[in-house]
Amino acid sequence: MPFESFLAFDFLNISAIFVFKAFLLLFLIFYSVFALILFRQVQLMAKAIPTFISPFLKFVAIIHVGVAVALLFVIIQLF
Amino acid sequence: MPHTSGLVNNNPFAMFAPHPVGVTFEGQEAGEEIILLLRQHVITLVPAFIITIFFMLIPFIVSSILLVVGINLSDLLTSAQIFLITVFWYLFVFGYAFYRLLFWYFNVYLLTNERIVDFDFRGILHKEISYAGLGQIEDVSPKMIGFFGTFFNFGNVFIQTAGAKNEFEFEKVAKPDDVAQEISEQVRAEQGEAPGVVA
Repeated sequence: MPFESFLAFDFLNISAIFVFKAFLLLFLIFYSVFALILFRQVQLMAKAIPTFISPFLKFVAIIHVGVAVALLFVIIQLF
Repeated sequence: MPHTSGLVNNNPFAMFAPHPVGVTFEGQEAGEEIILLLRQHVITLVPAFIITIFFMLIPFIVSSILLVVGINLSDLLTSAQIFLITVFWYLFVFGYAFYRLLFWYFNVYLLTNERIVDFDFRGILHKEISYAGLGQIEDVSPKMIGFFGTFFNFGNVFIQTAGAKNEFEFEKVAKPDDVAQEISEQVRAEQGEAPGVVA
């Protein structure tokens, strides 16, 4: 079987891009949940030990969640 | 005379911070003062740093390997798709590095003029805070093991207490001998106080 045909999953009538997109989306969903839990953990840690860079770390953590969720939607739309 | 008296630390990322400025903690009592804030030695972050650098290089390595075996990614995917995959990968790398930095930053050991506190955040869903009054401390022993420990002057400090958690371990902290000495001096100072006095 030629490599291009194998990549195209011709034997299953499924596009390789579709499979790749599905994996990417699944991973991004898990990653977004991870980012959200990390943000919550940063909130808890910053509450336990407030330092003057804690607000900055919380800001970075929320941006991280935002980028993960935004990327999820961009991949759904554009991939 | 306490070992760290007169020293003040302004560095928010310090691994050995006597009298850290701008740091408080949950459950701190009125008049309770942080004498020493400790984190694991910064050298313990080196494996995570190397892994992060390796992860950052993976897209270049993978595209080079694919070119060598005769696969051109731009024939299979559009430039927008390649861009999105790259953004996704670097988001993942950032997440890994941020996660490692956070857990290093917030896993702290505190010595106050009243007690020792161990903030333990292991993994993403694990938070444990342990306290032991200075009056409960029975024995303090610093331990430096191995080449890196000896070379960079870091190690573990074992603290035997009479409390419910009968052993505290300050893991991979810088200057373990100084830490043990400071704890011993604070214990002696606490023993000289009248019961219930916060000073």
